[in-house]
Amino acid sequence: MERRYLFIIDRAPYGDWSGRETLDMALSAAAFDQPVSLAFSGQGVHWLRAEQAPQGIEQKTGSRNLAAASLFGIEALYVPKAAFDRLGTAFDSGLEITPVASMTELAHQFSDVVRL
Amino acid sequence: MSFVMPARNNEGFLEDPSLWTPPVAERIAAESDIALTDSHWEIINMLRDFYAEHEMAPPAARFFVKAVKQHFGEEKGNSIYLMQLFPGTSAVKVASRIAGLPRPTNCL
Repeated sequence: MERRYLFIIDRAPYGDWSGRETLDMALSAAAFDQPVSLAFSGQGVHWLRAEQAPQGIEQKTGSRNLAAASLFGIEALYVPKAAFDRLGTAFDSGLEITPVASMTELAHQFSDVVRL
Repeated sequence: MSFVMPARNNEGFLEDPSLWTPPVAERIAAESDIALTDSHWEIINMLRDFYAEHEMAPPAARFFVKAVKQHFGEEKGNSIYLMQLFPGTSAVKVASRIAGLPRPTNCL
């Protein structure tokens, strides 16, 4: 079976390094031409927000890095439909975001699911 | 031309990318025996625009090639062309260093 990777970010950006490390892993897998998607759940959905301003804490803007990830072959950015409906207009309009009804069913579509 | 060379890390990347200027680029390039031509500058400017938009350098060699291909097409977006322009262990590292970007975080 072809391996397909889903990396899940479920914590808020900037609070710890888990999301950044997850994104680095996803990009590494994409660099080796593996099919990779990212999913955002819980507080992780805030990675996708527009108008993040982390310069004051010397961090890179999550949503801008995710736009680059899409250019580099990350296939999809998934969020739960409830969060998509609640935050839709607050998300960065430069990102193509795919709402999903069930994160559990989404995970079943992948051979490997990584959550730090 | 006289100018102050900004502080750099142990791999030659600028500590503060905002201090980059074209003469700084020429000086860093000269350390690798590269004389910058228009062909180099279009790649350097593309990398700087990419960094301004995405706040990251392309984090791997193949992503660098991909970004160049998206901007300039197959003729320039290939690893042989880029390695000829920026010879060294990694074209994206050499080009990012000259362009004043931080070291690619994930440089495979």
